[in-house]
Amino acid sequence: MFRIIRIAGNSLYPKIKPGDYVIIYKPPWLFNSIIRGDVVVFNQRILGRMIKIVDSKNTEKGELSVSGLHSDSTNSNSFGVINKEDLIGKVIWHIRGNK
Amino acid sequence: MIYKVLSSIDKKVNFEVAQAHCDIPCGIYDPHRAQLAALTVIRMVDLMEGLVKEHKTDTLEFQNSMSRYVAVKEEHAEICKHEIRVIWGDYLKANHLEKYPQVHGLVHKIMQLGSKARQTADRETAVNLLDAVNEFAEIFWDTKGVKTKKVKAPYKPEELVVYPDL
Repeated sequence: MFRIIRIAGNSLYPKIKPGDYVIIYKPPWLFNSIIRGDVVVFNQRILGRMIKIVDSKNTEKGELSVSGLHSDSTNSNSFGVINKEDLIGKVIWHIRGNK
Repeated sequence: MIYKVLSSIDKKVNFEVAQAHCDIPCGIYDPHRAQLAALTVIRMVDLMEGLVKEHKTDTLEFQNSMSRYVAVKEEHAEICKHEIRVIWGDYLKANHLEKYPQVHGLVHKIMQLGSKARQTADRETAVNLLDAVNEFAEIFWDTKGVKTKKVKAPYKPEELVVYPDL
């Protein structure tokens, strides 16, 4: 239910930097609890395990639109929406590195 | 404090990684690091072969040097694979894949050769890895409309490397 994840890449910089750790949590009610602005970890079919910020939630379809913090970050416009089945967890704790 | 503890544990258990893709440095892609890593793998094999020929193998000094060469070979074969995966996964787009349909097969070949280069001390495998990475570099630069040239690296192991002809 809890997992420790190490971050690679700068998509969420300066909020979350590469090398930082996050603790994620996945309760059975995860999708229902997600709101805009939450940071979530998910599996993307092609790109693999990713971390992004939730832009919007479509409760009926069970889908999330996500993005990074930069105009050139990959986001749901490029790789599509995230199905709730692909969610790995929501970040509940961020442990910053020393950089 | 917590970060240091997690970092120490991470080194032992290797936590899962989540990618925050394509960001501030996005758009900066270059196969050169993969080529350097492949060259390093060849160089380490050469050094390992030289060490066996020139030194007694039952000395502490031999063991120390051999361990270091093996460790660097391991590290750079993995760097090579990583760099190619990033360009393949993040940079190459559908139109590139249509134009260069051999890319998937080539990347898979590089992954296999990179693993074999770690598992063995076979120079031919290491050279094949560099050759495949060079082929990938030619495709990469062609996607940018940049011509390439193949020249001998001005340092050992002095193998041929594809450079952008800028």
